[in-house]
Amino acid sequence: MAGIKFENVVCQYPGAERPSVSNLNLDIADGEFLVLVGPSGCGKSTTLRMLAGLEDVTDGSITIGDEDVTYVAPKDRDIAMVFQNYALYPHMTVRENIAFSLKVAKFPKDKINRRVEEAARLLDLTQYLDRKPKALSGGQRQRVAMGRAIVREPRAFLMDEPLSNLDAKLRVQTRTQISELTRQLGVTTVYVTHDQTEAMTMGDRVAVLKDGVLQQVDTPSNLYDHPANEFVAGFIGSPSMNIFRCSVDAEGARMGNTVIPLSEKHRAALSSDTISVGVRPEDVKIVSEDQGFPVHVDLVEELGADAYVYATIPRSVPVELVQTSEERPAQVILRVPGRSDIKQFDRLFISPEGHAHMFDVKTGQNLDLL
Amino acid sequence: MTSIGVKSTEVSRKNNLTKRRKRKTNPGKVLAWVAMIIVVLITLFPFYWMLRTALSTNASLYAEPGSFLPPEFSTGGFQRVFGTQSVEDAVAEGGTVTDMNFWRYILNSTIVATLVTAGQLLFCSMAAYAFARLKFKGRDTVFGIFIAGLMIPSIFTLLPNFVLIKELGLVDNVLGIALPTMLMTPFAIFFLRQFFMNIPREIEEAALLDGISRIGIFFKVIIPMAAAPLATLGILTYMTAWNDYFWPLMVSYTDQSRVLTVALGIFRAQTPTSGTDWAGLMAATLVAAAPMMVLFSLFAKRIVNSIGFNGLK
Repeated sequence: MAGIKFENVVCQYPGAERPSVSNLNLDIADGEFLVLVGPSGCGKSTTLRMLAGLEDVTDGSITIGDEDVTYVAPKDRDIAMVFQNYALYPHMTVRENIAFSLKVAKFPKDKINRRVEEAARLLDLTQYLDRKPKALSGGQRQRVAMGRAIVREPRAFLMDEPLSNLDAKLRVQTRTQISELTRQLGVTTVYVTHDQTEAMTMGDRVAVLKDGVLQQVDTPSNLYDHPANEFVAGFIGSPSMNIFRCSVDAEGARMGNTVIPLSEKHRAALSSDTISVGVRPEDVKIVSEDQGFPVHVDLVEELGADAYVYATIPRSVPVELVQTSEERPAQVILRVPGRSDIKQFDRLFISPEGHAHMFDVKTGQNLDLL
Repeated sequence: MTSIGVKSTEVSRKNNLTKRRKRKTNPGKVLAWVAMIIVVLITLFPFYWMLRTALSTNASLYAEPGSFLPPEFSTGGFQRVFGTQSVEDAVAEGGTVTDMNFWRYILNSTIVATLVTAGQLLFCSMAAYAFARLKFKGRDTVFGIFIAGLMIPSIFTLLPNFVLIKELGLVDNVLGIALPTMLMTPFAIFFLRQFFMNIPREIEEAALLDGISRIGIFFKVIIPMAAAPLATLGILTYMTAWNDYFWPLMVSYTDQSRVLTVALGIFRAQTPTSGTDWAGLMAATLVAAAPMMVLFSLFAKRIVNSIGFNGLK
């Protein structure tokens, strides 16, 4: 077991215009479960592969424990990796798959058997030990891949989207199992995912990456409550945060009839006379007509206890909504109690109440954290 | 209760109807079966005719050329092939009276086919893996040149190969027969490269993390995973090498290196005055073809599956 340290790590593929990972500085404590999260192409898998030694580091250094492993061969790093497609050896049985690395390391037979049996018991695989991977279900294959990693008793586990090939129900179940298992073993784990729910539920800390640049590393609750910038604010949380763009006047940020007062610190940090105001769906409230600003309801999503209302802002209102994801149209989302009488095509007046996050329009930085 | 009883009767009637419908013959299917049976008969007929001729005496063949059964049953043809018939008996049956050492030819054929197959599997799989996975400058150009080799008719390479083998002093030697195709063929490389390209890269990376070297990955992970296409290629190569005629004819002059196909040609040429020894020739042809027929019938399914490239999924 050991901590992991990235210092100014850069990875640039030959011929690429910009680095896949640039100037990454990350300190992972011994026994910590760190999740790397971000949209596809953000460099999270590259970071993990550099740590595994499967990708060359262009600049900077990677340390595991006290050892600089930047140029050490993958086999000598004493780490184990779980791949997205599990990468099981199809011609070997489950037992041989799990035992393979120990066999290569020339462990005595009885020790190999003991460790394999132990791992199989831990992962509930004992009855499948003599089967080939093709005779297993997706969840079982995933567990074999886990078994192959834990049997080595490595210094760190690296997991590259290990749940993305499972169906939704099994994913939730396996998510819990992985969390429990790694904490039980106390091994440092770096886990890559594009699913922010997975990141929030599993990680001791979560590192958010975008375009190869680390945006923020923090505990899930801090990421949710104090996002460093507009990107993190929009990426973390499901449904994502509403980010409004509005003008700033002498009284503060003006959102229709609601004015959010700005502190001197906020004003000093602002680079223009507009501001981005981030409000989580649970902090958007329905108000009377003389407050806030109007929206048109497009859809009401009933979830039982809660309901989500998706609405658009009419053009006449001087408040603009920032699109946080390319997959989703720019819609205001508000959480209301379930079985509400709000219907499609209703006109509502809304206003942020509770916590509002202030971001600079140009830099996207959270003004509270400056 | 009554209603349930009625329902169950209805259900069983429906089941019977479906069964009857299923049993009802489909004219398209019948036609397909008839067509397939005709094709099988056309394919098998020459083999039957060979067997029927091999089990007859030469004289009776001329007397009753149209008979479907051996006109006069005799195992003389096979006895001549294996050299167990006396000269008098051979002359009496109108057979070839020559000392043909078929066991020697079978041994030579086996050595040549085995050398070619083992060599091709080893060298072509290594080359194919390099083309599929390793990164080096000019890789795709070199591969293009290899593939272009597929377009060159083998007759063009006959003379250069002969000169080479002669210079190497390997004329009339089984190694000389095997050598030109022993190292590689473009087809084998292309065939295996396609398979290797379909192996997920992560498996090799997992192996790398598990602590084996690049060469270890090739022999311990890639080759066992490619068992199916390698077996297919092996069988196809073995059959091609076994059946090859023209090249061995050019480079083998004596029994020391003569393979079965060439020996059959000589068997036919050494005819007695009475005419060709058809019984002996057909017996010899059957003996030569038998190992390949057995091999193909055992592995036919595997070959078809593997050519479809569904080995991994």
